[in-house]
Amino acid sequence: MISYALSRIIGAVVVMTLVSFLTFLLLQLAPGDAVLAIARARYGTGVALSPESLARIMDEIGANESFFVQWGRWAGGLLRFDLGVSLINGRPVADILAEGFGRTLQLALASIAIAALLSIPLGLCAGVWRGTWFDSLCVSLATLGSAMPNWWLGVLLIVIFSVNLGWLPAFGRGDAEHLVLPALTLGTGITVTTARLLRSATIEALSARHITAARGRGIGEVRIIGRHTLRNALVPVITIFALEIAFVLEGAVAVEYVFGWRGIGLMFIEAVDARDYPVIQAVVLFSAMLFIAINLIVDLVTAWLDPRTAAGMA
Amino acid sequence: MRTLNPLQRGAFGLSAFILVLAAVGPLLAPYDPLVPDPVARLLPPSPAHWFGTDHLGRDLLSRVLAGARLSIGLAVLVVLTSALVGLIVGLAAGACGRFADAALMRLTDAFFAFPELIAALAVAGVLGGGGVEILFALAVVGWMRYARLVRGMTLATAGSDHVALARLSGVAPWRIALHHLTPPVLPAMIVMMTAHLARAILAISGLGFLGFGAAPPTPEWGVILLEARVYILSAPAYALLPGLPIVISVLAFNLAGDALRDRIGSVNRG
Repeated sequence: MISYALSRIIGAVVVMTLVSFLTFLLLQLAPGDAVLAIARARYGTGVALSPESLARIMDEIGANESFFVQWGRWAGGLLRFDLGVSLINGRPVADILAEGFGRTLQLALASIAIAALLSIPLGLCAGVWRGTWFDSLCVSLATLGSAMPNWWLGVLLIVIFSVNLGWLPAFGRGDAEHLVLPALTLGTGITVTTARLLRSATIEALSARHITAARGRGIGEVRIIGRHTLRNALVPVITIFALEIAFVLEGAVAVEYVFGWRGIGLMFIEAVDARDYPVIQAVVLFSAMLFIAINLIVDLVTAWLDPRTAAGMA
Repeated sequence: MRTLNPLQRGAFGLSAFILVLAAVGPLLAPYDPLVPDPVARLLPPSPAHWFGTDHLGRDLLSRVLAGARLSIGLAVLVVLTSALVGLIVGLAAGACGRFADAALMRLTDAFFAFPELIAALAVAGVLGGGGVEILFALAVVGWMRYARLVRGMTLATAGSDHVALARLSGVAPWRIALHHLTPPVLPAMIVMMTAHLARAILAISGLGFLGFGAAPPTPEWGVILLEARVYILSAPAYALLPGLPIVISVLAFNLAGDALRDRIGSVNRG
């Protein structure tokens, strides 16, 4: 177990280093001169640029040095949580990230709660009542849900609940009412994946021989499902649910854009729009690191719960 | 071998229909998708304009039909490019020894760590929008699944007797890759490509909707919805209807992918 954990942690560190390298490489994709692009972003396109201001920007981003020196300095800064400053307004990127992440986290937690509340009963019932109209309805809805872009679903919910019914506000942040539609939109993707998986896990768990034995002993159906099925069915579901959390940040980008929720996703779109490279790099890097960290934790917890995984048997 | 059920047959039919529509769609458009008509702005759906008209009075159905070529065509290119890159990386990892395998798979892991939409937005945004840039951005985030699949299957094939025999008789490595290692992975790759097509359509329209797709007068599904977004309160049908072709095509390719997986899975089991 310890050697498995060590090898997984070392692997994650290697991947994280590669990720930071790839993120840094991103800036090199910028067409033309990055210095010129930054100067335009800062001073506008029509303005004549003085050689001094260009030299200052070159100095700022260290464009005079070799690529690897630049990467080394950037990566060194990362280790001290120094992500540079925004090219647009000069604020430290770490501050911008923290501010946006707080708001996104609020949205993410609400959507995860909605997903848990919806997917567990739906997936379980669909699995238990396999082949009934309820099961078909759930499966159809899940299929439809996974075909919808979440931003289009957001527009659909706004049209239904804000425009037609007038129940909920469509845009902005504020009280709990503002949270409902974006959280529902963001939670749908997680709900669909989790409910589907729980359905098949329930079907599999119900076909196990100890369930037949329990039925033969005359144990009530509710008790069979509650004590003998749900517990086994939930293990893979919890794994997937944790992995889905890694995708919440990605889903939040379009959802925040639709609902005008100024979290990390909307800030990211604005940064890409304005070519605010340090902010773009920071968000890209942060989202990838989050993914790696969640994966590592899920792997380690799974191995701890079920040692067969670490031994490569499961 | 299992026969297809009606739903699966429907999914294949619909997928084929969508691909044909993408090829000939612009020819079927009842109006010019680019010519504005100031008198007919924001009309609701009617017999003359099935989907209504947009904020410049352009026929929405015509714009959606014209957009099919760009949205679906680009998605097909994204899938083909990603599959080719993934195939090459996977073959190299699976057949070129343990060092190459370890290095390439760590690289694949690193690319895999980036959330698809965030990385594609960053690449497309930094490059500055446009068809080739979107293709590049989505291929950058799309090849890893193929690489993992091909690598796994190639590890098994590369160790088999007929490959060893071919190697011993001096067959060129690229010939071994093409004739012995590639054919066994193709069925599984086709399944993956069908599902990827659905994801690529979602990603392309998503980039367009977020403002990093084709430049606005171009009818692309995501871009049409981006333009419509401002009118969500005054013309809800305009803000919603152009999304239906996205949902329908993604649904069709998803179901077709599932059906193919069932079918090819049963072929593999004999």
